[in-house]
Amino acid sequence: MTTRVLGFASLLLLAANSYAIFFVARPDRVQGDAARIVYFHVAMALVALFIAFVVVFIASIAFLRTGDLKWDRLGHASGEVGLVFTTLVLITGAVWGYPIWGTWWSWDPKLTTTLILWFMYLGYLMVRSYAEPPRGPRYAAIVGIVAFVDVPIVYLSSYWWRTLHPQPVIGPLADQQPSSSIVWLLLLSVVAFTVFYAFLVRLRYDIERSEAAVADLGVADLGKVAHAST
Amino acid sequence: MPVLDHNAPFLLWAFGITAVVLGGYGLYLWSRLKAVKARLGDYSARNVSAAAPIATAAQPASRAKGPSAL
Repeated sequence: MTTRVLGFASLLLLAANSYAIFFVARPDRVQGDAARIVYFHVAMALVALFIAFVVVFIASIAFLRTGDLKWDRLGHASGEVGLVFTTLVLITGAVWGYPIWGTWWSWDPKLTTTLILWFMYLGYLMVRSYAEPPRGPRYAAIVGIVAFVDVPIVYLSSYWWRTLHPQPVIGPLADQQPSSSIVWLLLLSVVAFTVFYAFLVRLRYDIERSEAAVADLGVADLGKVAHAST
Repeated sequence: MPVLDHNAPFLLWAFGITAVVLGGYGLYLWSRLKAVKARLGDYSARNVSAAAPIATAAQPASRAKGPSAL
């Protein structure tokens, strides 16, 4: 029920967001239509950094403290969705960068730290998938905590080092506040992608839980067969 | 339709890639959840039927020797 509600809500919000990006937002005087990319590029980056990877961090700590597998499943689900969002952030950033910077990629601090972040969460998912339980979830939780160190570095890199990447446009560290229409559209994007993130995490979490139940029942079935044959 | 400028192809590329990847990922998760729930339903049904009393063709003890010769 919750999954369907989240699915419909995210569909509606993403449709409204797409309409706003193409029909409400005005092109930038310098960047032209490429500036519209920012509305989904920034929204996905904020959701990945400040929701998805924060959830992985909290779930990893909770799993190490309690050993409850629900935290491991939540961390895994959030890490996977966060990695998909980060992949799209890197791709849409490159597509924005080509007409604006004249290059698809630059070893700029923001881009480099984001790429490192991408590899760290890829490592998290690989450890979680390939290491045998019960060690796999425990090792993955440790990687999930260590990888989180890079999250504030990514956000603050444009303040700490000289960078091509624009400064954050919203938030407490933003140098100049943009016009209210830009802020509202950006907020709509962030809300739409947050609800969609919740929908995807819910699906991924339910898959994990159902697969565990199938595995348990399968083992129980095998046990019955073994018992009957003796 | 809005009038798009010379950077519009980049916008359309970025938007298209995002829509295809997120839409595809969402559909993949949805279909995978459906499949695993169907499998879970199969297993549960099998376990319920295994736990239920089994109807057999065995004769009651009073007729264990078969019908009496009349």
